Amino acid sequence: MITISGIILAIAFLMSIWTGSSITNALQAVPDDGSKLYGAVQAALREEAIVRSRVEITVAVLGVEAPDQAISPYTVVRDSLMGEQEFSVVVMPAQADAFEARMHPAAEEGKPAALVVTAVPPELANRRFVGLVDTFVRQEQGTLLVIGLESLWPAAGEEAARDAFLGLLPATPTSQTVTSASVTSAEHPAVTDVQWQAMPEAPFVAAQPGEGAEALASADGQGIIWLQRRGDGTVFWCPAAGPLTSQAPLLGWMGEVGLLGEMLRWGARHAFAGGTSAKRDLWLVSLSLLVCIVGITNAMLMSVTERFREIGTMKCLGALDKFVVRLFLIESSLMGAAGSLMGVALGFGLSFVRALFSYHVTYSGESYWLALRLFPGGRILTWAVAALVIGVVLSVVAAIYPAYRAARMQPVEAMRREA
Amino acid sequence: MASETAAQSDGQTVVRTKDVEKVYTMGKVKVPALKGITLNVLSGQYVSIMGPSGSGKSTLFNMIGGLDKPTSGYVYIDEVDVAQLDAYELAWLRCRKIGYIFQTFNLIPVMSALENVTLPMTFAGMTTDEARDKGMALLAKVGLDERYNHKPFELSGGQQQRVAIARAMANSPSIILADEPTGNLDLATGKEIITLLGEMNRNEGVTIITATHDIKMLSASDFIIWIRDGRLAKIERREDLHIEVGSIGGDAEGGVEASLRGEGDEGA
Repeated sequence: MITISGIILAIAFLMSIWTGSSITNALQAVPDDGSKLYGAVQAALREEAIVRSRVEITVAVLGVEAPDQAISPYTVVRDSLMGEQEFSVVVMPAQADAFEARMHPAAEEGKPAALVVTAVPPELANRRFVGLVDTFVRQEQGTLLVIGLESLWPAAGEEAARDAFLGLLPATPTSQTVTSASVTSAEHPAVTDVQWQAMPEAPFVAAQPGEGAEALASADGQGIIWLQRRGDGTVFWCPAAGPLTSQAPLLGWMGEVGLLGEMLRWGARHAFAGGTSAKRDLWLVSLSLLVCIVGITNAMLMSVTERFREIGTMKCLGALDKFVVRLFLIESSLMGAAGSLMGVALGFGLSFVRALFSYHVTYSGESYWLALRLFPGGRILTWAVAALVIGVVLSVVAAIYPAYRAARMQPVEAMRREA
Repeated sequence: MASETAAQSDGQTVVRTKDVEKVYTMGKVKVPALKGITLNVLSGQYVSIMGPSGSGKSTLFNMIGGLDKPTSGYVYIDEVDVAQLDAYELAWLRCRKIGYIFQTFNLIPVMSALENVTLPMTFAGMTTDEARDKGMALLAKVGLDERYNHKPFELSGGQQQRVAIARAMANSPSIILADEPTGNLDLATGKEIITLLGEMNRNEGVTIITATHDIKMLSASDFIIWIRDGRLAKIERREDLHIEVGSIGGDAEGGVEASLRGEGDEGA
């Protein structure tokens, strides 16, 4: 019984790791088709990742502190991000070289996962800046959030650079005003959860949406946000018609409804893709299985020693050595099978229940039990069979030495007087 | 040596030893257990090996039964030198030619009586149906056919030993070796077992060789081989036995059997 309980626990451990990673992989495999399901999956993975892996998103905020204003977009952005647990805010240096070093694709240390541009310091308003921002957007992941446009660029400056930068953005602003009717609210997973209502009348900036751009209108008519995917990153752009002061309320509102954080997380969603520390876990499992093998060998040896009379008698009845070996190996394999079966059930059950609750999310009004919905039945069945096979094989291997000790017993042992 | 002819023998030697010696080496000390024993057992005889503890009785028994090899000398079972046999041949010998009965019964605890009896038949390659029929017949002969599906712990000591006897007869061996068969049994049950063994000897013609302390066995045996200090002391025939035992103020129930001399009870 003791040996079986050892196998049960070790195989349960193995199976729970495999079940957990199978379910997580199934969630990660949901295609990015902008559907609600995908959004729900991302939300669930994010919650899980924040809780368990303590993901950190480095956000580089590029802007200018306006000393003569109470609130500047830069301050608003910085302060609202500070309050969120997974963001670490980095103030981008004004020097071109330092900026470049930070933004370089090869830079590992402190590489930002999101870039918020509220103003471009004059020293950086050049081709290099634009080139680097473009590179940033085209890399594997990241969100570029650009607040305002007119105020970004001084009237005088490098025209070519300015045009190139405009080319990154999804829309070309004009000076007309538009009504909300002409603004469509898109279902974008990054911002779906926010309560959007178009205001009937608002001083919006008219814009020519570029290809693949979606528009979102704010709830209180503060502004329009356009978003466009570039590479695998995302560009959010908030145009503003007026001076710097009109951007601050928009940003404040974005921060209040959580839109700001949502946008930035969206670009870094790969960091939330989950995944367990599989290597370390498998190492633990291997060790526990090894201990199990030792335990099985020990218990089987004890059993052989206790059954000396039985084995001796069998040999007197004509049993060959290999019969005795086979007897003990089959016995051990049956015990291994029983224990593995129970271990698989236990491991799967526990892990599945845990995944069921940790991957349960309420997204845009609906409740999703993602572990059920995306259940990777095929993979888990494969893992279950593998765990069963491993358990049986290990039991047999562990019983080899005791079986041969039993086979070498002499029949005269059956006559021994003492126990 | 006394003359070999006995009432039921057909003259064929079933077990023969020649100058068998056995020396046990424990570290640097050599302990001679058998110091040269030569004897013949003919087919159909009922032979008891008797002797005090440490006399080499068990060692000789093991030699005859093919469970051990002598240090020097020869043991022939059916004129085959046991020391020359390999593991397969020895297993075959134990399966087909010899049946063993032990003091501690040695039934497999997880198997029923019928399964215990048919186990050697499985080793001999008999089919399940044949084995079952023969097993039931054997159990009927020892009087346990109603308890065929009882496990050993559900049977009394005497019943277990009867199952063991049935098991020993499973493959119709020519020799049955019984090592202290009545050692763990009380008086009445012991008598039953001895009677049963005698029946097997007479009805089936099996050669029975026992090693025992039990005096009750003497009345059933054709020959008694006395071993003392590793050597043959004497071989007696039943007719020549001279036993006197008394009882202390009791009757035949509580006391020991009276003398075999034929002079009637001599209870003190």
